[in-house]
Amino acid sequence: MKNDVRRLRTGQGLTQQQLGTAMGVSRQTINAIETERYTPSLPLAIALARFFATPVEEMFDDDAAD
Amino acid sequence: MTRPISHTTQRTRGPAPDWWRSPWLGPVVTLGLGGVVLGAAATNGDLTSGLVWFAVLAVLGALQAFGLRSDALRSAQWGSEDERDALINTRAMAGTGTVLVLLLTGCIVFELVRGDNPSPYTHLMAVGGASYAISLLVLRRRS
Repeated sequence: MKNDVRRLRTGQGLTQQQLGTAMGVSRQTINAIETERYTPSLPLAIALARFFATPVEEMFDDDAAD
Repeated sequence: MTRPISHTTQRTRGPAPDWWRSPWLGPVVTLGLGGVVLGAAATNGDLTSGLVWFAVLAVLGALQAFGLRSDALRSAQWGSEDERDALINTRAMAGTGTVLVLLLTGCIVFELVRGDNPSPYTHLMAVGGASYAISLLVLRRRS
């Protein structure tokens, strides 16, 4: 699923490892989300949206989902 | 660094106990299994085979314990907190179950064609089927 996680993360100067630690997931999971190989669970999507203070529907683009 | 936000994918009856989520549980179980196999082989007087199996399982346990920088190995870690790892692990286990069912089916057919008793393959298949049915019932009730 297309998303803005990479843009938001780099905008805050965070590494994938730092964001993963903050979310309680691995660096690889953050990478998989950013590269659209993995669609996060609803709790993780909400946690990411809260972390970046962004509405979840703006962070994830379901129209582009395959 | 901004504030940490925790999330959980636990959907059932609260988080698992700490010992269940310990990264050492998998290696300890693997090493314990090696000890059991070693004991069984030694009881049968085949200490060499027992030691070989123990060494193999000890290496697997060490990989589980100290190979966690590997993405693939971490996915197989017992009680992984990472939701993607848990999903990958679940799919891998489902795939393994499918392979075992196909293998058992093949063995049963082979034994029947030969005119032999398909036991214990039928017993293993029955245990697998019952386990699957019970798991479905329990998981449906809990989620």
